[in-house]
Amino acid sequence: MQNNMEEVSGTASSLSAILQKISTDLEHESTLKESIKESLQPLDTVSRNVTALLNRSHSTPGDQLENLAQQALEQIKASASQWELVAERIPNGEYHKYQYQPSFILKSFTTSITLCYFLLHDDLVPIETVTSTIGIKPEWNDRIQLSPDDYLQGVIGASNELARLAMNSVTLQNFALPLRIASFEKDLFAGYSLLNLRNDTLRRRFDSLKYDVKRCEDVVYDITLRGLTPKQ
Amino acid sequence: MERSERIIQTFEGFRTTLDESNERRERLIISSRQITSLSKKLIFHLHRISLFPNDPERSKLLAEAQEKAEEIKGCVKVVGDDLRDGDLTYWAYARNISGGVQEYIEAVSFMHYLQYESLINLEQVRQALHAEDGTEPFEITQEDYALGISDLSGELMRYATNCSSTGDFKAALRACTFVRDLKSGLDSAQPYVRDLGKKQSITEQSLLKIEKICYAIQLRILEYADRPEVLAHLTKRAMEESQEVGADSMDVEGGGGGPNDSGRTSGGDRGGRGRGRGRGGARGGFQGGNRGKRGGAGAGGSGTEAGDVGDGQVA
Repeated sequence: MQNNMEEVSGTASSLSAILQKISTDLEHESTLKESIKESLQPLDTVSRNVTALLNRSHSTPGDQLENLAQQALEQIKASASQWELVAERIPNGEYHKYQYQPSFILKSFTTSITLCYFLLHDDLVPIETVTSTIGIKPEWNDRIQLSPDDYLQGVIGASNELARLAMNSVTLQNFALPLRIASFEKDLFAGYSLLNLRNDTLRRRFDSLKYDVKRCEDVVYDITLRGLTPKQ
Repeated sequence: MERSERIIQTFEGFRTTLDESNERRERLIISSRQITSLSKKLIFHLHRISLFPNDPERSKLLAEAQEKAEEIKGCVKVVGDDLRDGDLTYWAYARNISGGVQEYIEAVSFMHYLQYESLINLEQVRQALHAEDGTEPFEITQEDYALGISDLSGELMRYATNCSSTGDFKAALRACTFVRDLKSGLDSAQPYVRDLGKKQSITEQSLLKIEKICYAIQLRILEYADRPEVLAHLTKRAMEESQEVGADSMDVEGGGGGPNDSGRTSGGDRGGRGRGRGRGGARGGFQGGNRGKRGGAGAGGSGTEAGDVGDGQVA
């Protein structure tokens, strides 16, 4: 009986040591996640501010839109150095493990940059340009990057905003912009239609793109019908 | 180049990237399912070992289990190879693989328990999966480990049930202590692992079942301590019965561990009466009185463990 008891307590101590180690390791990881989250906090604030700034586009006269876009880009570029801290805290090679943490901010920045780029250059901003504008360096590749998925979702965010802007420009009696937007949306739609999407978030976002295209077409129809389109 | 053409070109690039990643995901999901199903088979196989506690059957079964584990290792290697040809990819697909990994951990930890009656640690799990050249197929995470060994408690519940029916009472008592420690040890990891809370409550139910079994066993041991020949007789009889029943139980999906049913509650009541009748009641419980072979005093005393034994084997 005595022997039996010792045996049992021996197992218990090694068992609790094993599990203690697991808990400690998990606790460390959770601390690390917290610290990454903390380093993202100021960037989250910037992305919200930029979004708020660009929201003004819906009530800004057409000739001042480029100015607004410049301002927004300046704000984003000013925050670029703050990514250093984020990249520092993510362990080497563990990009995918913590990818979900900055994802929301990256999508939001992509949306803003895509809007600005369109207003300034009438074109789709390439993923590389978004990455460098945000301030994510290629050498951080194994820790943080702008994933195609985040980029593609972010661009659709811009498309949603543009469809809204097309309508609001009409309210502001800017009849040239809706035509530009409608043509851009059509090109975007053609692009996204090439993708074989699975049933995930991007797929649902893509569905919203269809409605954007339709909304823009409706606006174009309305102004054309009334002979409001600018003379070529 | 026109803007529309440039956009088309860009998206053709994205299409290739997305397709590759989707195809890989599909492949990994299939491999993960395969790992799950092989691990389940291994677990069933391991339960057979508790019905044959003596050599040479036991050694033979263990060797077969080892072979099955090797087969799973092959599957894991396929997953590892698929992940390696793109770098940094494990975490991108961790969610798709972890189901299989957890089932595997459940199986190897059970095998380890049967061999050494101790808990396999994370390092040992990882080492078991190392290729011959020492490379790791992919990282086994603490989360998957914690979730996998939480499931081990369910297997040990079935194991303890089988042990009590084959007469290996001490093994059942040891499993009880082990599961109790396992449960309390994992509790501290609970806040850090998603879904561990759910599994822990299942673990708790398994633990309660084992405790009931042990309670009954201990009473029986105390009762017959001065008459080892009776104990031996009961053991032998129980083993014969369990082999009859065991034959059915082997191919049954092991999804047990559910909450107590009403039948068990009434069994407890009858057990209470059984106690009043002294030995006859206990004997009845041992036999699994509801089978009605003995009749008489035995039928009155189908104690709590009778219900549990029956439940565990058919579960």
